[in-house]
Amino acid sequence: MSQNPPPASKRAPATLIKVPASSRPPVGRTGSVTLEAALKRAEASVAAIVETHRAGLVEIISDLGKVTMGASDPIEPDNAAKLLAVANDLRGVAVPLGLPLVGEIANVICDVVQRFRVGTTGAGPLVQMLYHALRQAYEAVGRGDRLQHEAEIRQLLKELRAKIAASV
Amino acid sequence: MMEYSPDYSNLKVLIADDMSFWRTLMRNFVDALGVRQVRSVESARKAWDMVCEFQPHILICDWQMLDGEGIELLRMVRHSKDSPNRFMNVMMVTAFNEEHRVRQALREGVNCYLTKPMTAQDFLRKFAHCAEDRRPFESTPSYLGPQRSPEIVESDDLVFV
Repeated sequence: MSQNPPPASKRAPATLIKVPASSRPPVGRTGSVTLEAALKRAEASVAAIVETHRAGLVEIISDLGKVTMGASDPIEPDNAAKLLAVANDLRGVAVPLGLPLVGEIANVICDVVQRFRVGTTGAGPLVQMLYHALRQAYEAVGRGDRLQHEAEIRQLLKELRAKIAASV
Repeated sequence: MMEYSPDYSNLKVLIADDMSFWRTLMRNFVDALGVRQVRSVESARKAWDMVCEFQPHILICDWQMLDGEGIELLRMVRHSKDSPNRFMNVMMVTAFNEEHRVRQALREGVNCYLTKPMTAQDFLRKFAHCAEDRRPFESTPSYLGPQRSPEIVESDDLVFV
């Protein structure tokens, strides 16, 4: 792999192809749904499916629980991969479900696993603490007393981030 | 915000994502835009079968699925002799947000790249952009996809040539 690209004049010339209309998405211009209206409708539909997907979220959190409870210290590579996959799923799901704090915790879990996966010690207990924070956050949301717990959890995340930074 | 009223009712959209949550969510999004023909699948293999059978105008795919990768699917759409439409508009929706992944997807000819987590607004804006992407295609020995800006070609060379 060379770091020196050939000069533009020596690169293979690009051929431009006019895409046939039949291969393009048939988008009209006189539809009855404006993008603004569609946006509002889509946002409403997100709210409507939140409840449906609570069960899915619980399942992901439970999967995370299974992995974190078995987290050795240092975390084994297999376990790290599983943990990362589940935390990634969780991160992806949390924001559209309106649970940014859960998403933030999942983010920190990803950070912990990525930074410690090389085999240094200290990750296991951190991940377990994060899992407890996650459960707390999720349960707090369910009980509707989000703000009180949010402050505590944010403090915990702050401390954990400091630990992660100090460990690198 | 766009002022015209786009009509997406004749679009055919295929969603490939291994998480049912995301499939439902994205399906709801495109439904809300007035798209009437939407299919969704949970694996790369099924996605390819559906690409050939359903022949969507827009393919929305995750990067990592149970039995394969969305990037491979994109490669097949662009280069396979069995591809029903090598000019298909493809939107990658993935949790992978590393720069090298985005670059790789651009090199394989993706039209749009959106990272999870996302809001409904993020998705809809990207979808509209993807559906209305009218760039001509660029073909080189190593690339087939929407025409890239000189800056993208240049920066890609610096890293990957």
